[in-house]
Amino acid sequence: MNEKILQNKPTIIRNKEPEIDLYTAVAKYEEKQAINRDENCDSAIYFNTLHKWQDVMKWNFELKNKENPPIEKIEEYKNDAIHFFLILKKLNRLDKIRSKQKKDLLNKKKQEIDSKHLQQENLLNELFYLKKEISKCLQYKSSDCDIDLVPLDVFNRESPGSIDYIDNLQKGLISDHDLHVKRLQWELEQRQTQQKQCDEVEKSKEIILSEIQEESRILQSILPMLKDIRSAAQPLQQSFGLAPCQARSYADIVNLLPKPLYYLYIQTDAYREACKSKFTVLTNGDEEEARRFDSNKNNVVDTNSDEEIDAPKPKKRHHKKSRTDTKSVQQKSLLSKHPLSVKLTLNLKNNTLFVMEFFYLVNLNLITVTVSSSWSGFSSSYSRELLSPSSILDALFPGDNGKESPQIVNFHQLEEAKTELNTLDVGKPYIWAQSICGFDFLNPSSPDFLISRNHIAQVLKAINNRLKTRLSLITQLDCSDLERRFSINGVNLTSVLSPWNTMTWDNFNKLEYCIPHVEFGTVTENDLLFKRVVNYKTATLTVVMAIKCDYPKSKPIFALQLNIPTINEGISVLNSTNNNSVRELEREINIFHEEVEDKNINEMLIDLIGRLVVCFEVMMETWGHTDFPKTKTILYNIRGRTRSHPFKAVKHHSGIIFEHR
Amino acid sequence: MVDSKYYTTILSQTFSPCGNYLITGNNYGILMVYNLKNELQSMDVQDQNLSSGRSYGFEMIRKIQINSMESGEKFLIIGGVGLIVGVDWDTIIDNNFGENSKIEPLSISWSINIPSPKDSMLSIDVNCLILNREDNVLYAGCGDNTVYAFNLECGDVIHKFEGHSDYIHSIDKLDDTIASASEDGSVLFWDIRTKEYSSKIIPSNNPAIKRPDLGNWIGSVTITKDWMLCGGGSKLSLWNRSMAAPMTVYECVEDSGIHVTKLMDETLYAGGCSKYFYQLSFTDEILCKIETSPVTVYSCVNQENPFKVTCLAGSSHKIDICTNLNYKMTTLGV
Repeated sequence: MNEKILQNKPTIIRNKEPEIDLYTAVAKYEEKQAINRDENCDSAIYFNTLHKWQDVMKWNFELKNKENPPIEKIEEYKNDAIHFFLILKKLNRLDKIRSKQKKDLLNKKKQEIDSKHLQQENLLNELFYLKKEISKCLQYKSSDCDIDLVPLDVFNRESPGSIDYIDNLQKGLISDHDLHVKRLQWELEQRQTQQKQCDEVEKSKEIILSEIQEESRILQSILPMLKDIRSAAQPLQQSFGLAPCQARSYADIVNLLPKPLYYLYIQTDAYREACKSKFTVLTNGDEEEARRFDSNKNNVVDTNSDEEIDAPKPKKRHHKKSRTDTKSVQQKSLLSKHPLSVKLTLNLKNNTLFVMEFFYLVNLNLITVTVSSSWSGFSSSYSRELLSPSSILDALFPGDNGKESPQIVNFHQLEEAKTELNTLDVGKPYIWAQSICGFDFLNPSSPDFLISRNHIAQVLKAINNRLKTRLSLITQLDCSDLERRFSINGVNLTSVLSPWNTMTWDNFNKLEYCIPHVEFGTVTENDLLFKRVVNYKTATLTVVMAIKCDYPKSKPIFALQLNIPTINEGISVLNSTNNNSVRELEREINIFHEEVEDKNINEMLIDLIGRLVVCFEVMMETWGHTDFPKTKTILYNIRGRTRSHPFKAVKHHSGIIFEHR
Repeated sequence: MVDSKYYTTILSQTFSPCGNYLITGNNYGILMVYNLKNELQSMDVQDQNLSSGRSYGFEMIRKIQINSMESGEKFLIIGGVGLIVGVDWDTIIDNNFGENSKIEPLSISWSINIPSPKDSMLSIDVNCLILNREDNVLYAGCGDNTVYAFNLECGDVIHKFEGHSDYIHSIDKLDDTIASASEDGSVLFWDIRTKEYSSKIIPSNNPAIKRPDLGNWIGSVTITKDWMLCGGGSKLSLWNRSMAAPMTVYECVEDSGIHVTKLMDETLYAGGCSKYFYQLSFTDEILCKIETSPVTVYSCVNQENPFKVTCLAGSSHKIDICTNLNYKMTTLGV
């Protein structure tokens, strides 16, 4: 078979016509053959042919060794051998072609593998790089977490656009991240605006600093001029016999006083010197503590001012939140005083000292006053009441009772802290006390020395006056010789008067005949209440007197009750709510005041009580009761539909005559 | 200082001829005019802004206490102390007066002086005034124990009814009879024609009527054809005129002095120094009592037209107004 196939080849070759390309055609053909033919077949052919070749050779050799070899045989072998040799040659060529082809293929594959390998290497590198990058990314951390942001709810409220972010977040309309970004943007905006403000403030600070420098330069230039003036004035002062003017120097501690108290100190001291008044003004308190307090206060003031700026801009509220825990401490310290105070001591008769101490409540920006005094020789209960430190300066000016803070901004502070001005402890915040320390309570900013200057004289006069009237009131309340006084005037008084007693507001409110006065607002809780009983024969008049704080400007008010015996040995209780006569007696004493210009205030109350007793006796004598014979000159007993009594005393040449009004 | 308003005593009241205004006079000589129509309407319509309907005042010359008033057709007649004055209604009643709260002086049209008796310093109170519109005669019960009859045409005294021994508290007139109640404890009946008193009743002579602690004085008297109601220091008592004998002595009335009595439509009214103003039957029986603001009621006036109203005033700045005498409707002058 194989031979046949091999034999077929020449026929194909023969078919190839052009002789020039014969070689290349043969080469091409053989190349094709090499590819198409099976190598294993070829190798079998090879070995087969080889064996045949060997056989032929062997046979040929044997033949030649024979003596007369048959030539035909040898020829035959020779042809066979050539035939086999050609086959072998052909196979060898094929083999060569094949091996070349395989080598080429091998090289080609090798190259491929090399490139693949290279590619793989590259990819591996890339992978490693990417992994590194990823881990880098994973390890990346933004600094936005460190930024202190506005709490979400606050941001939600204050950010522009009025979008409910929390709601959106819950609905899933907005992601956490977006929200965070928005909040960051908001924060950035805020910070930028604040930075701007800060810059502005810095700028103004610089301007002010330069102004201060300028001013101080001017002031320094004034000093030599002042020295010149002083030296120039000296001869003149000497010739007038005046002491050369000396620089006023106060103790260091005065400079440590808070501003309002400092004004008070300076003004009162100046007033004392100018008026030669009998009072002294001193500072009270520990200097060291004041120094310490001063340095502390500077810090406090800083935070305070922060808060003040905060207040109109609620967006910074989250800063405030952190302060809530400190608030309770602030509450406690709301009523804290400045360690220094100013003591004003008035020297009265009998070596009595009347001391007013002025405190400055730092946090409330308020002045309070406590009073202490060294009265002696007053034993009666009413004198204690009248000179009571807690009320003696009440209503020095109308309505100024020191009950609540006059600083309009304090109300909520006190309300919030649920604190009341405990007047025993911190003193009373009278309006006049604020005024003499330079506070204008309608304008709660900083104290102004002009206000202090304008009020000081008036207030000190009022205090002096108050003390004088109170003392005179006590001597008048002590007075018991009404009979002597009025017998001189031609009226005989036979009534017996009990001493005055004090009365409480609660008791006053319980008395039927006092209630109308309370309801009508003529007697209030601030008034001092006294009670005494006047006996005229069988009639008893209970006199309740209310003295206003601003006595003698406001006259005392009387409420009366009369007990008289009835025919059948009972007692009828009459007062202004059930009897017209008592009502008219009350009217007479409460409304009709005898206006005499040169009336001594030291006599006013005595006169009033005297008049009351006279009118009471007149009323009883004109009552028509047999117990009360007439002792006074009365023209007509009773008159008019009201059956009124003649209460009006008229001086007549023969004495005093009582007439109807 | 006590506000003097607290001690105001209103001694007399009267209505303007139109009936829309209540005029009161007090012890300080201040005449107050209240627009009743507005005051009563404002109770129905609470939200009305009745600034023009507020009261306004006038001041009597020399601030003389106003003791009594009577409403004439053209004039308001005011009884003061020692004189009677007439004031033209046009100068008092005007809606525009309410706008300025200032108290203006009273412009007086005419006045009658009542001279003090010789050798006496007394100035005479005109405690009670009654005008007889038919012949224009004014009767005045005065502090000099006399009831005067004045001819208002010329201001002359027609007659002086003299017989009491103390001042006159109250007078009442029916046809030709005048009854006068006096501090001396008697009630006298005068005949206008004979100018003499026809009968004299002294209630305190009756021990059941007398109240020794309060005195014998008679504060008020009211007469009808058959009856006479009087009271004062003595108890409130109803008398039969023809028999001159007490019919009923009112024990049920708690008072310390009667100052007002009235007798209308078979019902008796009485007030005075008491917590209540009483409505009574002819027998000793309380029909109704109203708690009053004044300690003592000195004046009670009532009218039917243009609206039914009764006003009680006395020793208080408050005036109690009742449109129905069963309860207090409102209080003026607060």
